[in-house]
Amino acid sequence: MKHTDSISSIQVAGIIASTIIGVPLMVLPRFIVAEVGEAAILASVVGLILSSISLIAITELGKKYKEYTIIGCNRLLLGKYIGNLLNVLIIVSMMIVMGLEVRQFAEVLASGLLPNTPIEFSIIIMIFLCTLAGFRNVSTFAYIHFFYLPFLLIPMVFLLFSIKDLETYHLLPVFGHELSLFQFMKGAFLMMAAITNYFVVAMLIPYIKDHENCVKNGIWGLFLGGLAILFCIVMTLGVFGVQELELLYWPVLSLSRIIQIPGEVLSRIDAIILITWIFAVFTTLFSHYFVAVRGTAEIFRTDKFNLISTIMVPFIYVIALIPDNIYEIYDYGINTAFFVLIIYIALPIGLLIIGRIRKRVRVQ
Amino acid sequence: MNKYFMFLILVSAALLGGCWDRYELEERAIILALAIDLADESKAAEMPEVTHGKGEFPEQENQRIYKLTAQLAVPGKVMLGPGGGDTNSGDTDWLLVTYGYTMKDALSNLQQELAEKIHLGHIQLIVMSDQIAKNSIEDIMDFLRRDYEIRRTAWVMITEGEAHQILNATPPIQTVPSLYLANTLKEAVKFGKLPKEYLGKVWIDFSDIGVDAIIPLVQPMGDHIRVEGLAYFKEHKMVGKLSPTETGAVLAMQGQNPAGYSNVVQSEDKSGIYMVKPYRRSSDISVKMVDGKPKVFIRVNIEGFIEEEPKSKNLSGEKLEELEKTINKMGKESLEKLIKKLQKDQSDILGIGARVRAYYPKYWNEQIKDDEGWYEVYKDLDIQVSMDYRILRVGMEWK
Repeated sequence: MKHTDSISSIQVAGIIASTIIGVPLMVLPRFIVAEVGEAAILASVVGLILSSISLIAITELGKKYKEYTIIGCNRLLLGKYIGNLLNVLIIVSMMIVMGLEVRQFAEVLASGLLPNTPIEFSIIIMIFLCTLAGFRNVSTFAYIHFFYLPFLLIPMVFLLFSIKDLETYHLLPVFGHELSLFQFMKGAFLMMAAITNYFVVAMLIPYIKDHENCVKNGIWGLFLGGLAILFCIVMTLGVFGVQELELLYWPVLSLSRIIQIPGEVLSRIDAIILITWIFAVFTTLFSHYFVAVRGTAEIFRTDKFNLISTIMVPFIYVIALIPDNIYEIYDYGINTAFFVLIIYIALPIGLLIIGRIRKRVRVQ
Repeated sequence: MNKYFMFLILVSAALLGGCWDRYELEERAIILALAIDLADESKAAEMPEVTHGKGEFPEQENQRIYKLTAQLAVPGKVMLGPGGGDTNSGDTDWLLVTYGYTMKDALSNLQQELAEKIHLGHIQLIVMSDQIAKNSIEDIMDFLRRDYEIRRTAWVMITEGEAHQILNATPPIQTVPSLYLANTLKEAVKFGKLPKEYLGKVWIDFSDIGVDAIIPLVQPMGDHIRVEGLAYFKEHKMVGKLSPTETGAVLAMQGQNPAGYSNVVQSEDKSGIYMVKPYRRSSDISVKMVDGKPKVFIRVNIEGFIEEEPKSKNLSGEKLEELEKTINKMGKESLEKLIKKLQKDQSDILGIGARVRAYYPKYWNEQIKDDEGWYEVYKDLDIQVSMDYRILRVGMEWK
């Protein structure tokens, strides 16, 4: 395939950063803290570092097979049948992840902002928004992410105003209370599962101009987004403390509700944080959708992206409506996140190893 | 064709979407303040059947009936900024009283009496009577936490006696009582008369292990209110109150600035009395383990100045040094007395337990485990107070 559009590795970094700041941002501090208590910060740092494994694997794969997306790689290295089976698995899991995340998004809207708006409506609007954003052009995709990135990062500065309510004793001890290594790693995996969602990079490989800088810049993007999330975790934990956090459903939203801007320029900023978060949700869901739509198109070797994305709408919509209540949403969400994590990490690493073996075989 | 179709979608998205949750200002019954009192059992008969049938409310231990007084803003009447002199508070607000077994029950009963939908998003303060506070405020807090409209920055107060009387307080210069009340507390915090204990902070203190909450205490004075100090809690129960002086001491131990209270000092030879006001404070609460037991060191540094010297005109460098010594001794004694009082009532409002838990997790997990264990240790805890009070200035007079 010959591509007219291309993106730079810095754009890739922007895509990674804006993708990982997403739906889990609101609820993540609570889940990590419920698992590991005060050790949440350390666990998140470990999770962040572990997450870079997937990024390095994907970008290394990109260096080796510059002309192929992950879909193409699967077919190339695993053969038509196994490869396509895995491809379908990727696409289906992307759709499930997207469905559940769009539901979480609608649920926050329903209980925090718009109680009378039917959540079906919020769900369908978000999916349509992703559909309409278009998938024909990869550089447009990169531009959309790059455009929204400042809108995600700058409002987080507002959270800094709560620093005077931060208590040191909420953050200590760093290793938590009577924590086993297993529990600690579970917390780290939660963080990892929440931020390792930049699989879309694997779909962009053929369009990247400078593969050499890709690992370096990709890591920068990952740390930029990861630090933004870590910052939210530190602030919410420092202000609320473990016991209060466990009671809150959306700690970041609650945090934004106690912030008072000096001089009372704005009397409440939770709307700003919610809007920021809606941008974040959009960019994340857009990335998931991109993988699903472009992936399907590549399997069928067509470029009817609009048709595919329109066909996918009802499926995602139905997935979004499956969970019965708020507890179930997060049960499903965490379980799929762990499952998808295996794909994100094991698949690129597996492909790298298989690639090496096949090369050796071929040489002999 | 495709282009037109897209255009149509965009236009309809702009026109058809929008304000599902729109409900206008005049369609809302904006509650500015809530006062919660205990009502006697006889009120149960008067309650309308809104959330439950007559006598069908599940019997529970510690069953209480709340008397809820809500202050509603009358839209269009509230003056923003300085307005005409002829509006008094009777025109701009409206007090309604309902009864209920729980908060939501009482509010549902209130809703039956109102045409507009109750809106809690602008609630400024919640006043509770000390009777309720001494019993437990856990169930009231549950409702407040769950409702998404309520701001965490709202104020919560406790009053001795009838809480609804607070809502009647309107000085002639203010138009809306609850705005006046919320403003009183806000300014009190600004001048260092009260710690910054708004609803969100109180919730955090209730949740934290090893920290107990404090809530501002106010007293109705007819058309205005008086800040009476603080009510301190053990878990969800109010166990005592602190006078303004003691509140100042608590603020000093927390190292909060600015300081709001002046103190009277008598010189050693009883020749004169002096009003000293702290203006910069810092403090350090540290915990050390001595022989397997926690030992607490509270260090308070205060810089102050002399505000008044009514009797003797004899200030000098030596005199200030002497005064510093006296005030250090006096301050240390009063802090120790206050801490003894808090220890006796087992209320850890300084968060010493949280610090022990943070810095010595191993000790905590082996010996103390939870709040109950901590109270046992806390009541006989060795707490050392040291104070370094320095008087830097004496005002515009030389002597």
